[in-house]
Amino acid sequence: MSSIELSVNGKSVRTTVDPRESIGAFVRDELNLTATHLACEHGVCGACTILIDGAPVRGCITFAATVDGQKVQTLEDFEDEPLMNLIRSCFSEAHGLQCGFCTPGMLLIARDMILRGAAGTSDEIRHGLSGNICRCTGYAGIVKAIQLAAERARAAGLAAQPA
Amino acid sequence: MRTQEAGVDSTPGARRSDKGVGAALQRKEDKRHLFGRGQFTCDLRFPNLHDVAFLRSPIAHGRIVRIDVPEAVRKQVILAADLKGAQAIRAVTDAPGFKAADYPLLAFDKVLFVGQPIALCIGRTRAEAEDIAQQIEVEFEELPAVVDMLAALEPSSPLLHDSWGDNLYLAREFEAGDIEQAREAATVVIEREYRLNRQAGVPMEGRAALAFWDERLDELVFYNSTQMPHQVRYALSLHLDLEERQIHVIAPDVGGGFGIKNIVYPEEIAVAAVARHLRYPLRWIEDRREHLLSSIHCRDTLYNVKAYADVNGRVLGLDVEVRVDAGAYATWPNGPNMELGMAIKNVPGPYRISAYRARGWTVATNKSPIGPYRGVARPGACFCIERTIDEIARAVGREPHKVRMENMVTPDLMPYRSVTSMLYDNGDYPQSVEKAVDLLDLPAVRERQARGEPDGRLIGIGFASYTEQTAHGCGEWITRGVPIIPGYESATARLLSDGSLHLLVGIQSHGQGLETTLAQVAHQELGIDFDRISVRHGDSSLCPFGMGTFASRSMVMSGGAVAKACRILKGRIQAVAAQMLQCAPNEVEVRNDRAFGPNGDVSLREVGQVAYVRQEGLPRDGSPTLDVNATYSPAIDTGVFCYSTHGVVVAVDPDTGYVEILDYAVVEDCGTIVNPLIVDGQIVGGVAQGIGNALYEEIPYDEHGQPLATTLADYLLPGSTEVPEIKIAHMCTPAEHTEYGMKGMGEGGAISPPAAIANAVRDALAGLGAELCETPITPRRVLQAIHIAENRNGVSGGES
Amino acid sequence: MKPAPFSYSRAETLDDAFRIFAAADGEAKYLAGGQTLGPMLNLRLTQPDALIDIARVAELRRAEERPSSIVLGAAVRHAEIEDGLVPDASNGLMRRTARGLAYRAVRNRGTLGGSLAHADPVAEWPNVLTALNAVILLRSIDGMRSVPIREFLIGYLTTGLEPGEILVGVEIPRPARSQRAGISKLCRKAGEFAHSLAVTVIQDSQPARCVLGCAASTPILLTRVGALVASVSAWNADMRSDIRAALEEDLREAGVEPDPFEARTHAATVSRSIMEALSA
Repeated sequence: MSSIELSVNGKSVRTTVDPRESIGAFVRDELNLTATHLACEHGVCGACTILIDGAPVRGCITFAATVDGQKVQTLEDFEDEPLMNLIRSCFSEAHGLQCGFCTPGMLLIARDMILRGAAGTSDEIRHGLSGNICRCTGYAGIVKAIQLAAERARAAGLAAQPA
Repeated sequence: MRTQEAGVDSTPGARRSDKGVGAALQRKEDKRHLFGRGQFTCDLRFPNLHDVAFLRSPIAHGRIVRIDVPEAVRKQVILAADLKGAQAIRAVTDAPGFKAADYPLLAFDKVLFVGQPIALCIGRTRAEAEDIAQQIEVEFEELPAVVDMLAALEPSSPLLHDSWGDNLYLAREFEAGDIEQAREAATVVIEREYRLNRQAGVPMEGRAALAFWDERLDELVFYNSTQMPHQVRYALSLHLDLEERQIHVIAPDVGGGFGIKNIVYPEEIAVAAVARHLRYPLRWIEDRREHLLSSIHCRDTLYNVKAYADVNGRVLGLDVEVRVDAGAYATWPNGPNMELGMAIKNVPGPYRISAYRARGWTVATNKSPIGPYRGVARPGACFCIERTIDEIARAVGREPHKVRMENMVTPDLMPYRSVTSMLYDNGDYPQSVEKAVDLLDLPAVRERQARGEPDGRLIGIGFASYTEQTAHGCGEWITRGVPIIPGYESATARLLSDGSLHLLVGIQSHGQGLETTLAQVAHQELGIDFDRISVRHGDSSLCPFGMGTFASRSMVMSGGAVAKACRILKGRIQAVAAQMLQCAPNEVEVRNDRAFGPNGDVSLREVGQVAYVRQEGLPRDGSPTLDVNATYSPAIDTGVFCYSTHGVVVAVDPDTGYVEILDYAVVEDCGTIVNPLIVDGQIVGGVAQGIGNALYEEIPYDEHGQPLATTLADYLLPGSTEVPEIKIAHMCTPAEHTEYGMKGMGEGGAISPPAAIANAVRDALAGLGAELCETPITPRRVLQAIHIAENRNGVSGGES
Repeated sequence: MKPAPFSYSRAETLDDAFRIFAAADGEAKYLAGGQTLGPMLNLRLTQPDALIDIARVAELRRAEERPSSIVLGAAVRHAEIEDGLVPDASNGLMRRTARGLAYRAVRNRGTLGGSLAHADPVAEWPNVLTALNAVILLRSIDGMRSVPIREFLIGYLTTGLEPGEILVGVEIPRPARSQRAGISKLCRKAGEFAHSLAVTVIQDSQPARCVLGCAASTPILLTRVGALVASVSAWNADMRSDIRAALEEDLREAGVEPDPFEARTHAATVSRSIMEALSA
């Protein structure tokens, strides 16, 4: 077992983990934060996307022990964030989700793209989204939602201008 | 037939409302998922939950000689012999010559495909369960693997099921009209072989089952990622020696299904069989490798077609052979034969074809069993007929879309009995082609094509049409010879004491947004605030019986049941309100959460109060409860036909074999649309899966029966860069036999893309004389086709 | 899909890492970003006894500008290259490469050194850095050594790393201002592994360095193609047949026998990388 101390959604967590436990499994199983889904567990689909020190990573192939001392954020950390709430409303408006299983990962990657100013054209959004698989929507609603959210976020001063 | 473009208003019983039928409402389902609060089976938490991992066969075909389980973990390992009171899966169909291919819950004598479960291992975590599985040693006597379905039918082939004497599940024949006469009359004969290779369904959430025995209720609680909780309850009672009263199946949030979860699997029954004897909950969460190995596969169908046509391209006759590689076992409920039957039935498509002969074989091989994936057989049938129509058009020197339109069933012939006896109810098929041609601006594409691309790529345009039977009833299912015959769906509408509404339905929603659309139907009928309506589904104890969500049926069937239940409920509301308003029930109008009489009105809350807690105000006669159950089936059981034409423009790179989709258009008619957002979402989602089928997804097997795509690095799912923007145009011919004129449309999007894209690639490569007759159209296959054409034409591998 | 058990230790310094490695029972592996090792562990394709995390070793996180070269630490992440957070020694080639490498969430974690140490001939960095004529910097308990990348990559997933040795960085010669480069990659969907990958780097007064990945167990330096490219100053579509002929020669010399599909796609990527370089 490995001792770790990290911040998860702003709370400090000090515990021991099996070194083979991924950070995705750790937040789900030890902290009951089940927004993060594990869908392929080999780094392809993006359902497990979480933020480490603010940057999205694959939760399924990043071991919890390796993020000791770092700042972990899951979708649950963004319950009241204006930008994420804006993205949420755009996903609903543009029908950017169906079964909902991939949605938490999509939201986190969308937010990252918007904050980096990498959500300008539809081509750019599609490129940025290419590491997150959705099997239901065919992506049209997701791309539209992110485009809408990026425009509105820029207008509201919540996001960077396109790079 | 009703007129084109008829809207909801023309339909009896429907009236315009901004929250009713036809409204583009945002979904009720969205909020929980957008906050990450969905409750998928893997998200459920129970004390002392244990995880299951299966030890699976590493070989395709062999006898199990010995299984060594280390003593230290023996108690955590369940072998076939340890499963008490549990039966192998048996799907008995009415097909003539039916052969049983019982699917053991855990293999004990033979293994028949790579990935077949052999032992169920229990750990406190999944990792620990996998550690245990890794410690088990199985000695096999390996047998030669049956991998190729054509070789499987040779007399010298090794056998999967020893008692059969061959590897044939079923042979089928169909003949109507005079095919010999068509052959003699033909000026054009097209002969082709088409192959749709093996695929998997890959919903984002894999299979999942969580089971425990509830001592208080004396029942098995079974959480299951399924499309059909009531059928699962039935299946568990068949296989587990339990009465149905002792089985409670709950499908919580389900992360996509597409047919994959329309099966009851050995792993799931095994988990239930073990958990019922344990004092703790047991769960199995399928991982992605298990999914690609052992969830049902699909397609893997070979078509050999001879088409006879006249000099204008009018099809005179079709002579087709269909071979389906159905894998090793029969899955529950429908067994291995549905694919073949539906393929034979659907090859003639939306066309007037008078002479048709089809012969088919469903073959057993050492691969994972196949089953019903979105579109079931129709993507292949569509590929067969639509590629062939294009070849006929080329042979007679005409634009394929013109030949297509001229062969189609026209509106004046509706209702039309197809050559395979399907009753096409209504619609204007040729117009769907015309609109698709317009959406893609065919003349502009032809011009661009003639001009040539600066980068040397070749432009092509292709179309593919289908007509899809949806929401069919008993009559249709009986012809398929399947053991479960769906007829009706049911719904309970319950007005509560505060005037809010519960709808309990037997279907299951896993992305289709039925929690929203069924509420729209109830709002349409009762005028109750959309936000005060809750839809409950996916629970075999809570909800009235229903077959579940498959076959593009839930909106028509369950929507019909909700409409009917709500109308009966409205009568009850009127009766109670009439007593309160001192008028006759038929004088009461229910709208805007109120009941209006000639001399006043009451709120539905007040009506609810009387019905539940101030019962002295109830009328003396009639049922006092505001709780109505109704069943619904459409007026005809031959189904209502949703039809569509897809058109696509591609650029093919002759240097690399890469195909890029430049433009994609869908014209479709699903009758009355309940929620346009959701309908378009289903179309685009279906097209994305169809693009996967056309260009990316494949599970090849090597000669030893080893599957070569067992991770998502090998099994390529279309991502956001692989699916283009889709143009959609709707036509609306309301069905005459369903509520509001609805037709089913959940699967359709996935039917045409392989054919449309293959036709477009064919068009692009026409100048080189190359064509593609196989999916997925990989770069390698494209270059092979070009290579073959070049060799045939005596051109060296020249520069392009 | 969970890994077999392993022990985990994090090294703060290289000496730490060497010490832990020496003390480890059974098979020990160094772990950096884990974006390749993670999936292999989850799939139980590899089952080491011990992982030694070197991703935070300060020395590996550095980028250093030297007079005639730039040294990038092994634990520099793909996203840091993509975002221009480290000095560039490729006139933009590495940034462009990083942008198309897997996915952003992978690039945020995956490292340059991890990719090189994995030595997959279909991956971007082994090919790009071969074209850039990089030198691999290695450290072990016995000291430092540097190895030209072509000597470092010795086979499929095989490098010249000695047991316990750590790839600490990559030294890339500073390019002339006139250096131009092109990269062409064929992968069936965005972010996936390539099935053909070609990189061309042209520097005045030197033979062009054309490298082909995916064709053999290591990147192939196409010397005839490079000589051909050095002899022209601008792209000309007529070059393609000459490129193809030179490529065939180079592949024959490398002992590679591509099937017709591979021959055609490799010819396409090589031509396109040259076209991009010459048009840059």
